[in-house]
Amino acid sequence: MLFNTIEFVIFFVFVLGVLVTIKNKKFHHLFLLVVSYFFLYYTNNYLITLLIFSTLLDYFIGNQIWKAKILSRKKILLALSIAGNLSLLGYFKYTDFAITEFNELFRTVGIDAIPLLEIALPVGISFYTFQSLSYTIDIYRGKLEPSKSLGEFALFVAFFPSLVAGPILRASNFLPQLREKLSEINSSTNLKQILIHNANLKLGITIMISGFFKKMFFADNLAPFVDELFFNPIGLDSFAIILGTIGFGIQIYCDFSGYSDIAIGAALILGFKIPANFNFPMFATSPSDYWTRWHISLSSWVRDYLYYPLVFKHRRSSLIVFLCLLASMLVMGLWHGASWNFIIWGGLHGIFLAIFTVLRKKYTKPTESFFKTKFGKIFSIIATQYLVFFTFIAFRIENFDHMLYAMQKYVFFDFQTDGISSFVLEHKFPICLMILFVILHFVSYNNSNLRQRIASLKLSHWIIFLTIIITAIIFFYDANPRDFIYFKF
Amino acid sequence: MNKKIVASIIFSIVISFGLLLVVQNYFPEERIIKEREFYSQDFSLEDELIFLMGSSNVGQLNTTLIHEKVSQKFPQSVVYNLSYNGDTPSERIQTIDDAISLNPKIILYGITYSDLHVGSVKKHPLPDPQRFFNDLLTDEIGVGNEINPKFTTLEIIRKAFSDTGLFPPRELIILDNSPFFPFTSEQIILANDVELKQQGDQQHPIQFHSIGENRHVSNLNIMIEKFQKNKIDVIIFSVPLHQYSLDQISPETKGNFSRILEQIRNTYDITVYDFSGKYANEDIWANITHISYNKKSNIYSDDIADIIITELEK
Repeated sequence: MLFNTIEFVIFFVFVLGVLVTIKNKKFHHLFLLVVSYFFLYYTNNYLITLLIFSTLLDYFIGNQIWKAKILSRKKILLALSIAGNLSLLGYFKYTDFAITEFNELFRTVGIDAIPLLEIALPVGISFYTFQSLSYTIDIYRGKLEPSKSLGEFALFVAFFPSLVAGPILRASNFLPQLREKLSEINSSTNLKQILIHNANLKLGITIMISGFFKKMFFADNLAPFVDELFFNPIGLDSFAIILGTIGFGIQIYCDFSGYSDIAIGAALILGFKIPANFNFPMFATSPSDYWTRWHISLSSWVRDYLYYPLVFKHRRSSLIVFLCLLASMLVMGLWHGASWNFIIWGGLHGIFLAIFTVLRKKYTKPTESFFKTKFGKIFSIIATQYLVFFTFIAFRIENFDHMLYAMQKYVFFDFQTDGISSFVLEHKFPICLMILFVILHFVSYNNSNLRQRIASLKLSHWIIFLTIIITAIIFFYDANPRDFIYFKF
Repeated sequence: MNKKIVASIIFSIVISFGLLLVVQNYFPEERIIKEREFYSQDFSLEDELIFLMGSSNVGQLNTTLIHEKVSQKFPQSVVYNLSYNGDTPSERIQTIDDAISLNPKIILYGITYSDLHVGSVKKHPLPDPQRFFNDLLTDEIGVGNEINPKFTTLEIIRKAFSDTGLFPPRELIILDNSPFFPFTSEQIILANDVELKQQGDQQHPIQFHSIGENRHVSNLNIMIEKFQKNKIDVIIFSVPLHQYSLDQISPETKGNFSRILEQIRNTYDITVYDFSGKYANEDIWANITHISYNKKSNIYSDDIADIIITELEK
């Protein structure tokens, strides 16, 4: 079920209505679990069994790891959990890709091609698999106690706002909220219910509406411009390629952070605080800073569960750090999908990150004073964004000849200025959108907690805000709504 | 939950949608204006009107050439191409009574795979609430009919700034006998094989429900019944597609499409022409789904003119 559809609006209003109306002791928790399963079932149908399998596997293995006294037994159990989850993910997401590559590799030798399995990709599998895995790993590391009941753990894995496209929740963050909420209410009123507080409702709606705005106003309206340019970029000059790349960068940011905002807002209305998934990545001052601001829930997952364990023992060796960063980013790229595009994208980020990390070690002192100045900061933001947007070309353009052409035009500016004015005139609308986005993004960056402040406005002023945003969304609504880009991951 | 907050949200939504309704009413889409103009015309009673209907694949026909060819043999005949971009039987049915009121002699309706496309048609072993909900919205509540507020908004902006030179008039050609289908210069250019191949590789899969489950087909059936009730001859033809486009359509979808054409032929006893693969490898294409509006591509229009002549001769 897509957030930007009438189905979701009806679904969410129904969920809130039931939660407010029926104040039964045990009902709310069960109800949230049931509607979360329905949410996934609506899109995934029978493939919901994979979610249930993952939930059962990790719940029971988590308990067994906690009870196990011997380290080797804990290790075996953890390996089982990882193997179980990754096998599912691997089978459903990467099998056809592997077959295609195998066929391609052995075609010249004359080996018969293996037919593709044409496996349907279960929606959200990359997200809930990682979410569920973090649970068993944290128990293994002794950082988390197992969930007290299967229902509690099942709700953590299936919690509908973040189920299909994140943010990837951590059990250590979500389960205490659930327990605290229930026990707190238990102590005073003996009611096990999800309360919808006014402050949460107002802030949640504000966050959700800004998510809808990002997705439906910016992302969906920039998409045709980006599609037009990157459908076949051959022949385009550098200016058009750069503008298309910026357009795609803004599109994917608005698309994905819009989804995250809607998820965070919806969860907040229900009383759950989901950590932010984005923190103004377009103001990142270095590749490593960027990865603390973009898709935070995934980058922190990869950092905590892959990069740190890999690098920990050899962190003094620049080469090992370099290789571990590269490997982590390749995994991050591959997580997005079975395609060379994402591997190249991850690899490029890995190289930038690794080079930056190694350089930082050596040259921090001589450059420190420069990067502390305003000019130095602006320079570092522009340099970082130049690299980040460069990687978006690999993310977006599937055809390799097209990708290489666009990368070449992006890096080596061709100074073909003749067509710039006509190009701008032909694409006024998307260019205006990009300018508007940059302005709003800058205003938002310079006003910390802007959404909190909007939510605290007097009701009459808040209505004006809501009306303006909703009007902008529906007046620029394209009759052909697009899926969220991260929906397919 | 604070009732004031809930009321505020509802209020904002009502105001926003109310504004949209007002704007849509005052600034209707260009096509709707054209439709109103066309259908309110007084046609000569002696004219034998022949209407071509369908989406852009029909719009690309050279209607002037068809008219000239037909009127040489049947001077009273006047051919109009009433196709428009993105037409589907479910869209067309909304204005079909207007077309019938002009009492045309023949209606040629061109359909293709994408005209019958209806979102997801995946079949699952378990009940499918998504499909149920979509059917409910489109068939019962009728919100599936496409409106595009963005076009209206951009048109208003365009008009508001028309004096500034920022929005020079678009170079669109609207022919008198093809009133709802604007032409651009791009539609005249022939695409080369490399471009066509690329388009084929990037074509999205087309899928649709089979007979009985497809609302576009049932709306097409309703229209045919209305035409026949009003003694209007109907000819259905599947519009041509390039080989690269046909290659991307699954055998199952092709089978479903053929069955739909067969069902129409048998149920209503009307002539159905299948052009889908007829020019698949000719060098006459603007893109993989549209034959170019180019002199070299007149073969398509010639064939349609011949069909009309054959029908008039009966």
